[in-house]
Amino acid sequence: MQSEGLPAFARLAADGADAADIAKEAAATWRDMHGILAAIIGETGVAAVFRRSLYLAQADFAWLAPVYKTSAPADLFASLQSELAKQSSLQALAGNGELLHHFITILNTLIGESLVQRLLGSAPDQPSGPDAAQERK
Amino acid sequence: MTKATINRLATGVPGLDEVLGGGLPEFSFNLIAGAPGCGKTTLAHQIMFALATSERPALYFTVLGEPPLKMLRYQQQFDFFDSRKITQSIHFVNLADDASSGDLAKVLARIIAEVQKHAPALVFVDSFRSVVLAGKAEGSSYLGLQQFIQQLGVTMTSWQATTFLLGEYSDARDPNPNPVFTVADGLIWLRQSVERNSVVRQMEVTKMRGLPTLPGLHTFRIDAAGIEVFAPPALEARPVTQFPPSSRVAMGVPGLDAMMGGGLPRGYSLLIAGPSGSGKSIMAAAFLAEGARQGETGVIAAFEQRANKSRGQIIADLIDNGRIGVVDTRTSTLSVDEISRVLIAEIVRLKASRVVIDSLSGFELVLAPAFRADFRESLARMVAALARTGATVLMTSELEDRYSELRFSPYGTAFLTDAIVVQRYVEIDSRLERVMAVVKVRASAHSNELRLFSITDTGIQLGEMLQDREGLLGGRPSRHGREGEHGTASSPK
Repeated sequence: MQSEGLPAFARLAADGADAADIAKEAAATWRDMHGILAAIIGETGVAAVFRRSLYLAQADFAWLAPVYKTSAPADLFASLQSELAKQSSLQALAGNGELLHHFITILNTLIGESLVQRLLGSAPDQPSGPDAAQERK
Repeated sequence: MTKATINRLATGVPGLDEVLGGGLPEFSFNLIAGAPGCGKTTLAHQIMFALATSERPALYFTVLGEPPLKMLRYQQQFDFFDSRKITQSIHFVNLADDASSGDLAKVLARIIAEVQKHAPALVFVDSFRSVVLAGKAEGSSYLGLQQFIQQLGVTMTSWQATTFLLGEYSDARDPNPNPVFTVADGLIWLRQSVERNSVVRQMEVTKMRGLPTLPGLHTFRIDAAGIEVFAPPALEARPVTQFPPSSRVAMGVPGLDAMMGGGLPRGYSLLIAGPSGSGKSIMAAAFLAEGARQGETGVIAAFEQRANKSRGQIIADLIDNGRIGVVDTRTSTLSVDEISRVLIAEIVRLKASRVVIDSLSGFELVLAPAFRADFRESLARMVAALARTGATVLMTSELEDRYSELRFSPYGTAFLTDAIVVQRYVEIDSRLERVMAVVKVRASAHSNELRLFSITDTGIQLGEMLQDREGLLGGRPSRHGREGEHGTASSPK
């Protein structure tokens, strides 16, 4: 699934917003997606895919590890917001983009791209711009 | 004052509407029950995708059973799954969290809230058993469950929603039936049985208020297109082809028509019985080729392993030209009803007036073991259904030569057919010769001659009667001095 234009939190980065703003926007986006998906595949289903995405993303973004270790599903997004806010804005954007990329890829693999597109519409997917990749640790 | 009208919804599942007695009653409260893996979720999805529209939206509740991710993953493999309908006319709602609390009132409230939000015309709860178990886990009383089900049933019907509860229930004949069985308007049971290497899926509608459902177990198949149910062959209201009354069918074997009293009466079923290699398939091919020569179309269900070779070039060409339809019989889990349904569909499609089943022996072999016990009954049903199409049917049957007894057909099928031709081997002057006789043509005069015949490149050539022999049916005739009598016989009605 390709994103259509810059998602709101990426625009924040382009406008010079700090990591806290990006983290807040990212968490809001995740909660929106969660709201859509949990109604269909359940809290457990969304949490399972999100954790798998975290596991994959932390290979390049080790600072995501504490989020992965968060036990309560309800606390996952708050934990993510907290960790994102500790990073530089570009690092936060890249880490969140990687997470999103894995999340959408897993969903695409499991239930097909057309259905994911159908459910999430043009939800954010890839981190935009070359900076995101450069910032990976 | 007018009575309430119950609309019947076409389920979109081939054969199911016939089993249901004409479709699914609108606003009915139904249970789709069966063991895991028997096709409940697939049946529900197929019905939902067929019926859901923007004006008639569907709500699919998933509970604690199959994880929705997996359900969506596997269901989208079916042709009927149209992801464009999701979020437009089909809405999935996961109730796992509500059900896990074990509070049935909470589950009911959530269901009602979602029903109010989406105003669905179709509601599915998959699996309902999970709701029941969750309720029991918290010590809910039987009454609580009963009330829950009744409230759910009443609410759904008042909201004008046709509802399906999917559940894993062990048996419809449970002496302590689940209260849901009482409340439900319709009970659809899905079963699958394994015998040797065959798996047979069967459906039974044990209850459907207000509809004359077809009783008994009906086989169904699940393939890429989804579920197809094979109801007993419907009797055609009128013949597919029209011919003058009392007309007869030429058999395509010179001399045989005369032996049958002027050909086989049209619309009759004929059994050709004989040992292996006696020429049954060649006679069947001649029958179809003669039909094509006279502008008729035909259908063949061939169960012989080398069907293509045994049919001959003329038949192969007619198949290629679409003058003869071929029924696919390769699978090994067939039921007689399934083949009947496919045959009749092909007869209707081609407006066929000649049908060949070659052979009943091969047919029995490809049937799933579970169906072999009922072969005779099913065959009788099939012959009756084929007769209603108006087609003339020729069936071959392998009949082992037994010289110590006079048999005309295996399986006791002789009474099923209107006419019988028997072929046998006899030893004459150290040669294995073939003889044939017309044993029966119902309500018609026919020859009682036992005639020699040979098979040449041009087909079956009827020879003379062996007038100076006796004991032909014993396999080793002896010469006698006087001429044998010959003439005509007539089979009673």
